[in-house]
Amino acid sequence: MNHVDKEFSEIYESYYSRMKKLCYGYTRSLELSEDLVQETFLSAWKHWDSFKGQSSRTTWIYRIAVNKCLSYIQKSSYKNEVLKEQLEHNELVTNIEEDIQHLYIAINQLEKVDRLLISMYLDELAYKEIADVLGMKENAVAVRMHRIKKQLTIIFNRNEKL
Amino acid sequence: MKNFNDLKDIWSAGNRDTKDIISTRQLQKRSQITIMKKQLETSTAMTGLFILFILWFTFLRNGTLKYEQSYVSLLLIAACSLLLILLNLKSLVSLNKLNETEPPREYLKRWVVFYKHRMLFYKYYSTLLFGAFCVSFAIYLPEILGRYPSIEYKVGFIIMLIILLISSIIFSKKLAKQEKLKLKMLNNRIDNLYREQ
Repeated sequence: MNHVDKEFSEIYESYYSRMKKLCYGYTRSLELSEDLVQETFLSAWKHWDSFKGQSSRTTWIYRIAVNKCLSYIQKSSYKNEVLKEQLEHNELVTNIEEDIQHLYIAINQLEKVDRLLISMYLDELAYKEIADVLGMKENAVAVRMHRIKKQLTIIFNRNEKL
Repeated sequence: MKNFNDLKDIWSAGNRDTKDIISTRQLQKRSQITIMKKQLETSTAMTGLFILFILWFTFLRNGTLKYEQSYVSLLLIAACSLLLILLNLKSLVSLNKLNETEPPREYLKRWVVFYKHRMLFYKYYSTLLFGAFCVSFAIYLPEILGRYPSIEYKVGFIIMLIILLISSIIFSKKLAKQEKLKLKMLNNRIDNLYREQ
C-alpha cells in the first residue's frame, strides 16, 4: 500500500460513518445512502491530487458528499422520489434503535437542504466549516442553524408524543 | 421533553453503527456521471460509425444509386447524424465541467446547464432530427420501391412515417417534461440553500 492509498484509507475509515449518516439523513434510504457514500469516496479518490489544501480535508470531503446528495435527483423523478420516501420510512422504523429512529424521522421532516445542514452540525462541524462546505457566509449559517435547531427539537418532541 | 443537546447525544450514540470499512481497491462502483459519460461517448462513437457507413455506401462502394435524389437523402441523413454528434459533444462538455469539489451553488448550476441542454434536446432537436430522418427516408424510398410504387405502398409508408413521428413527439415531450422537473428541483435546491445569503 503506497502513501496515497494509506492516507486515503485513513480518511475513509475516519469519515465513512459520518458520510453515511449525512447521506442517510438526506435520502432516508440505507441502500441509496451507501451508494452516495461510495460515490463520494470514489470522487474524492478521483480528485485526490487536485486537493490544494485551501480548505481542510473535512470540509473537502463533506462538500463532495453534500454535492452528491443535492444532485441526486438525476436518478429519480418526483414520483419515484415520493414512493421511495414512503418505502424507506418503513425500512427506517424496523432497522435502527428507537431514539435514533425518531431523530432520523424528525430530520427527514425538515426541508431537504436543511437536513444536510443539521447533519453537519450534529457531526460537530463548526459554523465556519459548514459555511466553507456550502460556500456561504458564516453569519448566514448561524442564523439558519438557529432556526433549524429549534424546528428539529419541536418536530422531535411532537413525534415522540404521538 | 428533550432539548437540542439531547438530540446531539442521540446522534453521537448512532456512531456505533456503519463500521463496514472497505479498502480503496474495493471502490469499483462507477459513479452516475461516469455512466452518463460512457453512454454519451458510446452513442457518439456509434453515430460516427454510422456516418462513415453512409458515406461509404453513398460514394465508395461499387455500384451507383439509381436516382440523384437518393444521394441527397443519404447526405441529409449524414448531416443529421453529424448534428446529433455535435449535440452529444455539447452534453459531454457540460458533464466534464462538473466538479464535485466546487461549492454546491457552482456545482448545481453546472447541472442546471446540463439539464437545460437536455431539455432543449428532447423538446426541439430530437423531434427535428427525427423529422429530418423521416423526410430523408421518404426521399430515398424510390431507390427501394422504384419511382412509381403502387398507391398502397405510398399510403402505407406515409401512415408509418406519421405514426413514427407522432410517437417520437410524444416520447420527446415526456422526456423533456422529466428534464424540466429535474431543473425545477435543482433550482429549488439552489434557492433553498442560498435564500438567506
